[in-house]
Amino acid sequence: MEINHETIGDKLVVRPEGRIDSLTSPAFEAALLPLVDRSGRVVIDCTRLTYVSSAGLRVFLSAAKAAKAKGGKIVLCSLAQGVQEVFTVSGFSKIIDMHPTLDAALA
Amino acid sequence: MSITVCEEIILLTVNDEGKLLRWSEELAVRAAVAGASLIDLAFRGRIDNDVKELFIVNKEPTGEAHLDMALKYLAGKGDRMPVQTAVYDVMEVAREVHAAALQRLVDKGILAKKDESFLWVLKSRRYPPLSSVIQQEAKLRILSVLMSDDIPSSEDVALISLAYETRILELFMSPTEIERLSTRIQEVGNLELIAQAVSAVISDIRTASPILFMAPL
Repeated sequence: MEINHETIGDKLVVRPEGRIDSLTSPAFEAALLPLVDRSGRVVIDCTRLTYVSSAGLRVFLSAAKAAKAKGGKIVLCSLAQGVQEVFTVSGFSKIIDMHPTLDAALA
Repeated sequence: MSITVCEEIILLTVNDEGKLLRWSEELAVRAAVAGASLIDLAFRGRIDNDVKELFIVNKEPTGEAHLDMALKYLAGKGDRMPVQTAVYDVMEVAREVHAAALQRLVDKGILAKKDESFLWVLKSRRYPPLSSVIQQEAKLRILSVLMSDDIPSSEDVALISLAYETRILELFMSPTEIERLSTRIQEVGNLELIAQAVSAVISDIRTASPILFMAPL
C-alpha cells in the first residue's frame, strides 16, 4: 500500500491508499506511528482507502492513543461508504473524529 | 512475563481459593476462551476479520500450545467463514484450549495445581494463585480504562469486551458499578469486532437455552 503525507498549516495530512488488512497493517503502522510521534495533530485523508479490516482498525486505535498521549489527536476524513461502515459498526467513530471532507477536517 | 488474552481472561475466572467456574455454568467461559483465542490469533497475524467474515491468513503455529490448538481446529473448517461461525467452531474445542491455557499458567508459576479428594472418592482440582499480581494488574487495567476517557490499547479492549460480554466482569465489579460505567463499557467493548461476534453468539445461546447461561459463580 502507498502512504503519502504533507503538512498543511499546523496539521500533518496522511493519505493511505488501497487496503489496510493483516498483510498491509504492519507497514501502515510502521509509517503512521512515527508521523504521529512527529506531529500529534494528524488528519488521515481516507479518499483512496478501499478496505479496512480489524487489523487495520487496531493501527488506527494505536495511532489515536499515541496522538492523545502527546496531547494531540488524529481525525479521519473522506471515508468511502464501506470503510465508514466498518468504523461505525466497530464504534471507532465514537473515539476518532470523522469529517466528510479534508477542508472540514482541517478547519 | 508475556501472557495471552486467553490466559488473562481465564485468570480472571479463578477466585482466591483457586476455584474455577463449574463447567455446567460456564458457557460464558467457553465463549470467552473462544473469543480470546481468536483475538490472540489476530494479534499474532494468523487470522483477520471484517464486519462480516473471518479469514485465516497464516496457518503457521504460533508456538503457544493453546492458540495452536484453536488455529488448527479452525483451519480444518475452512479459510474463511462468518465471524460468529468461527466463535462457535472454537467453542467446540474450548475445553481443551482452556485446559492447555491453565497448564501454561501453572508452568509459568502464576497458578498452582492442587488435587483434592473428599471421602476418598470425590476429587476436585483447584488452581490457587501463587501470586495475585498478574490477576490484580489485569483488574486494575480494566478499571483504569473504564474510569477514564483514555483511549485503550487493543489488548485492554479485548479483555474488557470479552469480560463484559461473558459476564466475567461481574466477578470483580458490583452490579451498581457496572451499571454506572455501562456507557463507557459499551463504548470500549464495541471496539473489538470479534467480541461483538462473541456477544451475538452468547445472545443466541441465551435465547435457545437460557438455563444454560447462568451468571458466573
